[in-house]
Amino acid sequence: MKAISATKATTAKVAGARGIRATCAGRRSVSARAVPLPDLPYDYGALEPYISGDIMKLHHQMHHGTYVKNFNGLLEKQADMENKGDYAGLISIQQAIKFNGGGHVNHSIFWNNMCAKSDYVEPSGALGKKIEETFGGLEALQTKMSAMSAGVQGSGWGWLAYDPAKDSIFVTTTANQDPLVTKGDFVPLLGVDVWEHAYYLQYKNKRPDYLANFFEVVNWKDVEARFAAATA
Amino acid sequence: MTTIAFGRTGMRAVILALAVCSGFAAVATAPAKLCVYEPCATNKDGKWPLPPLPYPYDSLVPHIDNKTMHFHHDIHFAGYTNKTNKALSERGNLPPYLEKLAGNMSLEGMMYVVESEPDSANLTYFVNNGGGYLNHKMYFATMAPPGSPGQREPTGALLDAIDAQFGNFTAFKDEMTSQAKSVFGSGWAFLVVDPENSNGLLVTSRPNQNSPYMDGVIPILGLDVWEHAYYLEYGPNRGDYIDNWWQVLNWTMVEKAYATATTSS
Repeated sequence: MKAISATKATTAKVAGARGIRATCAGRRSVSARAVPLPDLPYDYGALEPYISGDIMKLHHQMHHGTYVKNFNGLLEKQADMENKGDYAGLISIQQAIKFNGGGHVNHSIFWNNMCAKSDYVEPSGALGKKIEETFGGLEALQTKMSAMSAGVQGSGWGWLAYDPAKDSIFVTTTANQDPLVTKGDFVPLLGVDVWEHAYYLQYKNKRPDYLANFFEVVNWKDVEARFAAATA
Repeated sequence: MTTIAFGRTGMRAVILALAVCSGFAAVATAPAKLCVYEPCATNKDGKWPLPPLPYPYDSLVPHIDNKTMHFHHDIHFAGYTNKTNKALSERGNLPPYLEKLAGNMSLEGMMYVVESEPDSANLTYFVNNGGGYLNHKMYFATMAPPGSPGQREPTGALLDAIDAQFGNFTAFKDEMTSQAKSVFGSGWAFLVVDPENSNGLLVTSRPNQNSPYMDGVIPILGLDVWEHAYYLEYGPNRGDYIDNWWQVLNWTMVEKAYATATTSS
């Protein structure tokens, strides 16, 4: 079930990124449209002292930048293979598409999930209520999400997710750059990157310290907007 | 009790048979052969020790920086050591076949009998941390400061085996580098001996702290590509770190491990 959801979601996203042209001979050919590296909605230093400017710059330009570059190359390859009817080749690159496309999808959410401390407000409204009902309050949610994210073995992400089928929110994790959709038809509300590159320069091995500081700069307005869109 | 003809299924059966025998002293060359880097036995208190770094922390500079060596050995490796000992002291949580081996066998031997897919949280805890201990034990033992005696290319039986398997040393180095670069997320690249394949050499990789022992092969060289291994000095540039790692290897140690792994009991 989960694999099918992932394929559907991936296909939908890829179809959106491609243009479909009809050639004179009446056969469709696909072309890949390059995905841009999104700008951060704030300066690199805006999350200091919670997350250092050095980390933000490297993380955005090098890590996310590399995922975007690789993803674009793969999308072109995929379009080319589809045009040539090389389906074995097309299938063989799907793992790399999951890695790099997942990296792009996850980081795009992540940058928007954060804001400068001066802009920080606690969750309220419908999401605030949902958090209260589900976890008992913001602190309880943060404790649970921190614990699960700290426990990720190796590289991965912690997520606050929405399950449309149950109209519920829950905390979960994914490995490497697997997007949340690889776990089921869930909507990512809030993600925290726990790859070592996300915190090592500042926090070294102290992932729990990083997580505590991450929660100081969560952009709950953005999280509320995602929840509102998912429950509309 | 010879082990050569057995293959992995046979060897695993031998090791498991030990678990039900009360006389461990009588057997033991089979499991001992699996441990190719010291320590192969616990302290008197039954705990696996954190082996001290066999060279100064700053002696691998400029290839691997002082800060990384401190963090990597004193915090990450130490963490795996402590948690491995915790997993073993709470051995009631392990599946019975492992619980019986704990305290009487090398970690390598225990890891050898673990199936590749841990099916419980407690087994996962043992695999992650025991694997972390084994991998890092090998990693720090196989490095040495530039200019020290082990610092040259492999010789003797190991070089012959490398040539036979890969063609020449450069081809092997390229293969291991390529696999190390391709690891997505956290993991390791390894050079392993395959006892089931006439002790042939193989380059392979594993995610997280998974140990090749779980798949019945004996790692003799490991390259850590978790970001903590290189991020302080190299940032995202894993390739540069790998190039520099090749320059601080102690081939004397790897040759010894190869000899141990390929000597019939």
